[in-house]
Amino acid sequence: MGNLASALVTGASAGIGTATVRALTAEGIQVWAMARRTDRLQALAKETGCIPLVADVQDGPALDAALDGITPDILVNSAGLGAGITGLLSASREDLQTTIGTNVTALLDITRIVLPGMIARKRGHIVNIGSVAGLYPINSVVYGGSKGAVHLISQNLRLELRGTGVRVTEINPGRVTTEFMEVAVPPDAASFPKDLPIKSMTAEDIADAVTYAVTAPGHVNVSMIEMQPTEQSFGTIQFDPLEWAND
Amino acid sequence: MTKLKTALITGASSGIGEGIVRVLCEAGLTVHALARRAEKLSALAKETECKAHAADVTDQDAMAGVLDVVRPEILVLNAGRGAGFDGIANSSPKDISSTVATNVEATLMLLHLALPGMIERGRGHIVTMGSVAALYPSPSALYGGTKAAVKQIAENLRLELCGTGIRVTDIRPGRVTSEFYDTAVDDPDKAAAAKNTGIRELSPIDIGNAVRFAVMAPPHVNVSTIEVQPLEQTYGGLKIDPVAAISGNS
Repeated sequence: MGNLASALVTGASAGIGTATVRALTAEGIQVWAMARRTDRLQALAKETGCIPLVADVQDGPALDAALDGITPDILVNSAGLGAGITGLLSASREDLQTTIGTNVTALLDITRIVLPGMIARKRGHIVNIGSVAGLYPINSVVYGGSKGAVHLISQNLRLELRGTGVRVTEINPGRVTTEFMEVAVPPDAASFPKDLPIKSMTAEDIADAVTYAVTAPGHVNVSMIEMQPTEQSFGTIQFDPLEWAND
Repeated sequence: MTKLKTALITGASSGIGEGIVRVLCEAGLTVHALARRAEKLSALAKETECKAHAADVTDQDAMAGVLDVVRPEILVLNAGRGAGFDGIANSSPKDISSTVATNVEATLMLLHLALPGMIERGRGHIVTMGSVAALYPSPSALYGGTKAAVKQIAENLRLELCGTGIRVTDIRPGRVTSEFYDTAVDDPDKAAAAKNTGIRELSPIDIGNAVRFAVMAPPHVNVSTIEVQPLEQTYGGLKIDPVAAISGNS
């Protein structure tokens, strides 16, 4: 596009967010890198020239002030987590609030705050990091539920923004090697498949997809990219006879 | 798996297929271009150094012959046909059978012919040409129906092929400027109206670039779906059409 010159990346202190900051700054885009962890953001700023923005995406009342004067052409909603990923029955109420609060409410809130500027400047691009868990039933009620919301938020946002020139892209990755699972899976959930015997994607692979979407020509909206390890697929059918119901 | 080097593209004599041929040739791949129109193909071959194969995708014997010779590492199942945009009630039986034959049956048959070799060689990449018409309701039961079949074929194929190292990508474009509507709508006035969107549409090269992004990804990455549409096109909304006999309104 050429005229998208700046970006705000949330969840920038680790994983896909960090890789996206690196990829976009390498494209010559000015990046505000937003996350809670000051030391990591400062190291990333030294390395990439990004502008650190220390804030908590879940801290609603503070967000307006934190984003005051920040006028990105691109918003990458990368902040996300998987508290409660082991199952609804093993999740706490706090897990539910944390996951919905970060993956859904904060994504809507930050998008709501930056959109008026994009619409007024007649250029903008919202990139939401979703998940294959938001598209297929892969046994992920809480996390998949939150990412399913991101999927429909992206599709509906595209309709709400008709005629504004603001693009909306969702990127739905399968397994990526990041801190995600370390944070999401409690130490006592030993049976949860935290590590897989395959070559997972890297955060850089996802950042490549973000770059492809944001550098597409102005008339093109790369609206959805789904990507997964070559060694991963989704589906199959389960049969579970209930022995006790056979009489 | 090393980077894949040989591609076979169906429906290559015009539109999206031609765009994919151009982009993949420029990316340095050996490209085999397949379509019915020999003249168009040989002009494209002269220009891009692709190899021309004049054949009909619905001709199973011809396809078996081509695949025997070409042994593609990348198979782009692009050949497609649009029809039934006047509604299934107004479509001819010939439109219905030829659309299903090209968009669905030929896709399955080519997979059946190409996959054993790919599995044996331990590498391959299938690229299907779907459509946003497979994802969102649009008033074409026939065309959207066949493209929804392509979508499910791609998703199920990924499960069938898990553990083989073969990747499957479904590209789902919105409006692309091509000859599509010249043959998709019979009435010339309606065809002209259908073509005139007034927006900046996607070009076949834009779709070629999406295919290139998927094909050039590192071997451990399967870019399984790319949905791409003009910035000025969206899908959805509601339609309210009162029926006097039901609501009393009209």
